[in-house]
Amino acid sequence: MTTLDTAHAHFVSRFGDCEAQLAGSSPDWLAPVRRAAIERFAELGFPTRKNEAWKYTSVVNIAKAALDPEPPTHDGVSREDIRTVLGSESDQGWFVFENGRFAPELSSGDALPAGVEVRGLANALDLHPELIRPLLDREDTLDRPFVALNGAFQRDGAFVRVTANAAPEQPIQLLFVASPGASGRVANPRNIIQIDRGAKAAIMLRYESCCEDVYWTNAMTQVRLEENAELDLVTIQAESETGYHFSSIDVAQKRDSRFRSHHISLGGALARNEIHARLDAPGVDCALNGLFLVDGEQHVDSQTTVDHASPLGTSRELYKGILGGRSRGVFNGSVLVRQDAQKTNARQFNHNLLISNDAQINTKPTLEIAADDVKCAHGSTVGRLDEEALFYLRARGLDERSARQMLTAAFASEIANAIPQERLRAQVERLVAAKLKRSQAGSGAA
Amino acid sequence: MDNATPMLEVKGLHARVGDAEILKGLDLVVGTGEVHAIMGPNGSGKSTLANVLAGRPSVEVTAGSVLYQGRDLLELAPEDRAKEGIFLAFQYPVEIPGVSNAYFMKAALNAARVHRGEEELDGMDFLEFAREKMKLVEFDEALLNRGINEGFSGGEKKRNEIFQMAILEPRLAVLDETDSGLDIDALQVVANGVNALRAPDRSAIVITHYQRLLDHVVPDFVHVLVDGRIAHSGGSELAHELEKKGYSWLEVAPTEAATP
Repeated sequence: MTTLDTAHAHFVSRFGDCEAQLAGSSPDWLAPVRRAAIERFAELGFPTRKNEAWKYTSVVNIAKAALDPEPPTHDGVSREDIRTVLGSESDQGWFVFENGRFAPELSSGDALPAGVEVRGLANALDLHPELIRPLLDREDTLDRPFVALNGAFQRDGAFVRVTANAAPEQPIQLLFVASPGASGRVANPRNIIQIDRGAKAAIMLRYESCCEDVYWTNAMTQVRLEENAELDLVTIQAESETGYHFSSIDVAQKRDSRFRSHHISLGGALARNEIHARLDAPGVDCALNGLFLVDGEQHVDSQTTVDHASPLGTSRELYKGILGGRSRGVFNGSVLVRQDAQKTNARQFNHNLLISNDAQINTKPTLEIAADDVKCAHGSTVGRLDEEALFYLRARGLDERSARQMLTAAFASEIANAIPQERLRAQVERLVAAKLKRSQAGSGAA
Repeated sequence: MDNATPMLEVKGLHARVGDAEILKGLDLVVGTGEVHAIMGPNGSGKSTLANVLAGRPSVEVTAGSVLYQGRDLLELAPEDRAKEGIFLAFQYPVEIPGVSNAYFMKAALNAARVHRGEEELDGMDFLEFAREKMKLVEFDEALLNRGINEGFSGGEKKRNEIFQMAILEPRLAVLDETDSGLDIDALQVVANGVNALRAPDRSAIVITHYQRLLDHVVPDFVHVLVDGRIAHSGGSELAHELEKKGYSWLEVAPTEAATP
């Protein structure tokens, strides 16, 4: 048996042991949904690099870590820890999820504005079965092995709903923190975000850690935008570098809705961030912005698909990568324009900056077009800092290190600048600047 | 530094870019308080000289020496030269989206101030200082908050160079064809910027293709650079002569003419 097979068999067999614990007080319909998911995971196994979607990302280290899928315990994090983790944003309102479970005692902030509902998903199951059940019981999500794993072991996460025409002024901020109890375990947060007709919101998903051991966050987030709804979804993945982070964000958009994702990936020994957007109705607008910033031995993998299934859709994708140390990056983005999706306008770009000699990136933007009246463009670049720009800054008196730092920050700034909400933008800027400083120190001159 | 030490002393300078030898034994002395114009045909080495002085890594000095205020300039990194008071106005200023002009100039000014043992300026003090300089070079405040040269017109880029020069108040300013491609109004701005800096303790080297700028910035000396060497030197009247006669009369036997 290979390492992957051993880990796989262990995960599957542990499901039986955990099933009763997972069920808790959840409704009866959920048990067969979980079972279908574990059966699918049993069939699929851990992906090998022969699998095209996993060609450049090996999960052998996760398998070797011999993690236990039994839900992590709920302990060890104080409000003080949360304040430390959040830094200067700790005085803002946060809904806190510890190892994927809603922790109201760690949460803070004012009462929710009218039209906004935020609660633990486990708690929402009985309140909104009509909304949640079809999302949890979706066979098509199970083709991804770790989404299937999440489907089997998930037991909580965030449920956010913004009701019709509501437009909360402040962003809704969710913090997912891995506590020491996550050590050696897998947390499977399951999040559902529902933006009703005509509503407009901004949501932050921030992943942090106070766990210095090996752990794995395996998140699945489903986003639905009803007609004419609008959402800015900012994700900051800042797990500790002993952790593994896998996340899928599936987006379904109804007519005339506008979705913008701003995905910032900074942490994790190995991080895989998937976003799959389906433009299912006419006139939909979808923007996927991303920044991954890695150094040392980190590995980050960004997988995105934009599926234009209806006419008159617009999608704009811009992912930027900054890689230092001996890090590895993967960008695999695909845009599909189906036959019916006439008058589609799709753009997809990935630009990468290598700030050390040993960093590597594999980038593959793909475009598949079946309609004939569309405007599409795509491409990717890999480069180093512009020597001419570097000299320009130095010729004005900036030392080489500051000049490199300034140019690298400038390269990254386009992604933060696209975030309309000041509070969220400032947070991204702060965390990106801090990470850049560390990367630069560790990478030396390229 | 005593008054007898020149601002700049270049001796037997040879330099190359890639495989091409561009400077072939250039000698030049710029006294403190003087403005020197350097003219010459395309490809004669004017920009290479400017780049040697600023320390551009792609230009390799193969022989000769450059003393700046009596010190070996060539051993200094570009940033140290800048902090010591050398300023190069680029012929082709670089666009750097994502770094604002204001942020850049504040960082540059403070780097020099720290080097001189002065206190750093905070945001408010810097802005006040910058506004004064903006007035001098008729530089729009909106441009201050844009990315460095991002989407600037050719004239705006050159104006930005002069603005930066005004902020940094160099001891030795080197202008590399800053007047090229400018209309008469912009040219006047460049001239004002240079003239405002004229002082007994500052010098400037104005590299230009056209005599026009030298009507506004009257140089103390004019040199003609031909094939990597100073072929002829004279007073400001030489610029007018060159405008009328061109350079071809100088291209014979440059060695002789270069002898002091």
